[in-house]
Amino acid sequence: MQDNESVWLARAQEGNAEAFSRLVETYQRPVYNLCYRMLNDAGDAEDAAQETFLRAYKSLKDYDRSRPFPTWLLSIAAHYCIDQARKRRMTIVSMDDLPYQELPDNNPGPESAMSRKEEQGRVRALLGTLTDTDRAAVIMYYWYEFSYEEIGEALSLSLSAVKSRLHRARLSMAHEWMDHQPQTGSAERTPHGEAQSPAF
Amino acid sequence: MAKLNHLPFEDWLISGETLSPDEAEQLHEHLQNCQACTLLSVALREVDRELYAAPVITPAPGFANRWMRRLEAERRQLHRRQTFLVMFLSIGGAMSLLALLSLAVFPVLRSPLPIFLAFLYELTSSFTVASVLSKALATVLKAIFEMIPATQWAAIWVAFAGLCALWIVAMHRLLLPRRIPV
Repeated sequence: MQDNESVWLARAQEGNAEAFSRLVETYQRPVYNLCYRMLNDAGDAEDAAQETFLRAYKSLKDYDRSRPFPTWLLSIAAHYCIDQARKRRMTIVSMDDLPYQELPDNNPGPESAMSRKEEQGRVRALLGTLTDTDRAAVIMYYWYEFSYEEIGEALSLSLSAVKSRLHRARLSMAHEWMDHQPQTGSAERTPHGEAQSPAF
Repeated sequence: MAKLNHLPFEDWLISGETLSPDEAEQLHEHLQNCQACTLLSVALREVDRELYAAPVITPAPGFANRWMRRLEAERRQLHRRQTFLVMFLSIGGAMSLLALLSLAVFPVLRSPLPIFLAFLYELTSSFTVASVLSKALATVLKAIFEMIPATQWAAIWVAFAGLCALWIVAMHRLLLPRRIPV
């Protein structure tokens, strides 16, 4: 897989779009997930993910092969989503007031649909309390299990800034949880650092 | 003052970093007596649980194909933009030249006779110079023809023909359409 990726990367850097489309297939999930969690709308997330890959393809010649490709790609996605979220805020609309496009539910049955909707609502509410950059840092920390250094590299922040942002974000989300007291759920994913991220 | 009492414990809870046995013991004792920190601890645990349990959202099927179509559309748009730019620059250049020409032609239209006479003078002078030069060249060539024997002339013509053929082949190869990977 890693070898294939290197080959595709090398070919893509020579201008081969077909090779880059293999990388798109490989990384579409993490990039789309980051965009969706940042923008909270399936349509906007699709646009942002497509734009991310387009920007990555255009600036592939400048990509430093010593840097991990997923970190570089997610860095482009995060910066783009932060810009989009700022532009969106220029219209003076709160993220919570936005009529967001829901994702199609693949699980049949009204109970699972309801449960999924509630879960999405809770995650949305938690992330909604954060600033754009803090949200990007939280997403990278929880979904992609990036280290502080990787988050700093992806978001162009110092190590202390990452720690302080994550500290502030966790406190803010805890207060949000305390204010609304949702029912407790069971963990499906492993905590940070114990296993490889399922996002990749 | 009450806030100060929570400070190290709140930080330890939020940072989630591994504590020394002594620190862990202090935190444990504090949590037994402090409801605010206990609530915060539970809330942080629940937030962690919620976020770790949240699934990775997948895009609709055919994402890579849609990306390829978008790339094609982007390329077509870029090509169109470049074509418009070249057209705009060409038309702009032509218009500028026309404007300069109009400025140059304007005095001629007002008084054409002196300029016509000057033109005639330049023309006749050029003919005279060309005639003198051709005579001189003919003399030099005649002298060279007499100096070089016929066999050497044949060799020179054969070499010249070979160079011409080489030039034609090279130009043909250079002008062939190249295969550019897409």
